Amino acid sequence: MSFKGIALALALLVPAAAYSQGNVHGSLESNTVYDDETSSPYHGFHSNNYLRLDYMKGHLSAGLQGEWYPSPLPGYDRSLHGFGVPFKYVSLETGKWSVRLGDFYDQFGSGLVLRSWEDRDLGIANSLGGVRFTGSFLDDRLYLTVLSGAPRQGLSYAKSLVSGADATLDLGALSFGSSLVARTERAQDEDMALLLGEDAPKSVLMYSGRVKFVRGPFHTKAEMVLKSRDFTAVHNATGSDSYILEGGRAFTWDFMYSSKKLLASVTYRYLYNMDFAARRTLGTKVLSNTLNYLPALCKQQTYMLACLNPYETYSEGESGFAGSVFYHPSWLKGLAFHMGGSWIDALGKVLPLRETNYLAYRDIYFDATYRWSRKLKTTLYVSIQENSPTHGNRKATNAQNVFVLDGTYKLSSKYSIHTELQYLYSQELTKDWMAALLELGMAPNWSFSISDMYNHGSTKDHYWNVNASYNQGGFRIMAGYGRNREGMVCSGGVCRYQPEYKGAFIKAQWMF
Amino acid sequence: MKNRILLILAAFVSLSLNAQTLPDVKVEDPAGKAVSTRSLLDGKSPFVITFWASWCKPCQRELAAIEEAAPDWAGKYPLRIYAVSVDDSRSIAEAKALAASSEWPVTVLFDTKQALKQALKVTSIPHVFVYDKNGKLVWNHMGYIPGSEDELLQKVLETE
Repeated sequence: MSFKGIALALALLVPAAAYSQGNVHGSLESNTVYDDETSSPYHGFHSNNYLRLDYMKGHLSAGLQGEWYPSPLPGYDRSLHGFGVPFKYVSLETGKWSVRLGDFYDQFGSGLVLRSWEDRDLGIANSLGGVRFTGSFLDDRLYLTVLSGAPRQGLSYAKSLVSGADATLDLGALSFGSSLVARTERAQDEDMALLLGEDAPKSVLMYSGRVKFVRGPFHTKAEMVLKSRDFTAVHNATGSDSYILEGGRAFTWDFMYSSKKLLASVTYRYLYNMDFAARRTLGTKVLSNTLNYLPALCKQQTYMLACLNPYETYSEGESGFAGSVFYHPSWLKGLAFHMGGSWIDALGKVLPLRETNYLAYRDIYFDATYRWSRKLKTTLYVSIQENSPTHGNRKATNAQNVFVLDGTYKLSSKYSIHTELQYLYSQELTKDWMAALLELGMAPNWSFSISDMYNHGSTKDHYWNVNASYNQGGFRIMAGYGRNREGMVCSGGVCRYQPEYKGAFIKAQWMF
Repeated sequence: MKNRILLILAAFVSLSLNAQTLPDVKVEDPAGKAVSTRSLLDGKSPFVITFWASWCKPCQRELAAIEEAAPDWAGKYPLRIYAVSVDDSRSIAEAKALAASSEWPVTVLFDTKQALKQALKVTSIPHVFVYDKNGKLVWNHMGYIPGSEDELLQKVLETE
C-alpha cells in the first residue's frame, strides 16, 4: 500500500473514530540493534518497527498494521525492507457469526493443516489476505469457518491462494472436527518447473479429521491428516538436496490424566512429508513462508544452556513420543516435582543414506521447586539431551547434560534478587559450558540484569549481556549491551536462526 | 519515512482516545469448552486478565506471587482473575497439567488459537489487563517484577 493509500485509509478511519463514539486503540513497538563489530556482516544499525491501530464500534471493527524495516534485524527475513502496511482489515461480528475482509490470522485444529499467526521474536507473520466467514449454529454446538486468501510474503503477498473450511461439532464430552485446505500457486514457479518439470502439481490439498473426549480426570484427543501429492526437498548430510514427490500424512494423539496431586500427559506424533509452504521453492526455512504448524515435540527449554542446541522438527519424516508428570506431594507443602522426556526418530524411508529409523532427538528432564518461605524459592533443574546433528542421517549423536540452580529472594516488598547458575557437561561439539545470571528487580518499574555464558571446553568464548528495563503501565523499554552467540532462537517450539553479533539493543513497546 | 510514521501516529494520538473495550472472542476452559470473553463481564465487579504460558517462567512467578498474596487480598476485594494460557497444540497438555496442579487463585482459560492475544495486541508475556465491571480497559502492564502484584491489587481497588 502506498503512502497515499494509507492517508486515504486514515482519512476514513480517523473521522469515524472521532465522531462515532467508537474507540481507537493501538500499539507501537520498536526493536533496534547496533552491531559494533566492524568485521561483522551485520555491522551497523538494524531495526524492526511496528504500529498497530484498531477501531471498534459495536459490531464493526477495522484496523491496520504498518511495519518499517530500514534494515531488518540480524537473522530476520532479508526481504523485509522499507515501509509497508501488510495487515489491514474490516470486520463485522455478532455473537453468532463474523465476516472479515482483508488480512486475518486463523488456525484449523492443532495447526497441522493451517496456522497463520504472528510472532515478532521469531519474525513470523503469515497472515492471509482475502475473506473469512465464521458462524456458530445448533446452539453453539456447530462452529464453521470458511476462508480464502493470499499468504503474506515479505511486505506483500505470495503468488498463491489458500482456501479452506473447518467444522467443529461439540457434543459435550465428545467433539469432532474436520478441515480441508487447498493451496494453489497462481503461477507455475519457474524454479520448481526446472526441478520437476510438469510433474509439480500447482494445487495441493490437506484434509484432517479430529476427535476429542473428556471424562472426569481423563482427556484425550487425536487428529489425522492426509496431504495430496507434493514435493519436498530432503536435506541430507552430504550437503546436496534430493526431492520426493508424493503425498504426506500426519497423526497426533494426546492423553492426559489429572488428579489433585498427580498429573500426567503423553503425546505421540507421526509426520511424513508435511511441509506446507506458501511458495514451495522458497522452502519453510523462511518461517513466514510456512502455512502449517509443526513445532518440536520435545519440551521447549528456557534456560540459557539447556537451549544451546535445540531440536527442530524434521517435517520430511519423524515419529516420536513426549510425556511429562507433575507431582505435588501432600507430605511436604511447598514442594513440586516435574519430570518428563521425549524420544523422536527420523523415518528411515526419507533418509537418503539409510533405510531404517534413526534417533533424531531424545531427552529426559527433571525439576524440583521448593518454597522455603514467602521470601525464598529455589528450583533445581536437570536436562539430559541427545541430538542428532544430521537429523538421523548418520548414527553419531551429541549428548549434553545440563544442571541449573535457580533462586529468587525477596529483599522487601519492592526489591528482589533472581539468580541462575548453570553448567553444561558434554564430550562433544564445543564440550563444557557454564553460565550465570543475576537480576535485580525494583517493583513495579525497574529491572537490571547481567549474565555470562562461557565455554571452557574448547572455544573459551564469553557471551555476556547487561540489560535494564523500565515498565510503566502499557509502556516498556528495555536496553542492553552484549555479545550474542550464533544459534537458534526458539519460541513455541519453532526456531529461527540467529547470527552472532555484538553491540547494543533497545526494545520499546507502548500500548495505547 | 520517519515523518510519515510520526504523522500517522500523531493523527491517532491527537484523537480523544476512548478506553478499549474487551473484544468478544472465543477461548476455551480446561475441558475444552468454548468460552466467550463477553461472559467474563458480570456488570458488578472489575476483573483481571493475565496472559501466561507453560514455557514462560516470569508468568509462572507472577501467578505464584498472586497465589501467595491471595490470603492477604481476600478480605479486601472479591478479586476475579482470568489467567489465559497462550500455549499452542504442542504444549497445551503441559499447561493444563501445570494449571491443574497449582493452587493459583485464578480461573484458567486457554487461547490456543491466540485469538484473544491478537485482539489485545499482546506481543510478549506476561501481560496483565485490568477491566472495569463494564469491560472497559483501565490499566495494563507488561512484564513481571517480583512485588509488582501489589500495584495490580491497587489498580483493581481503584477501579469501580
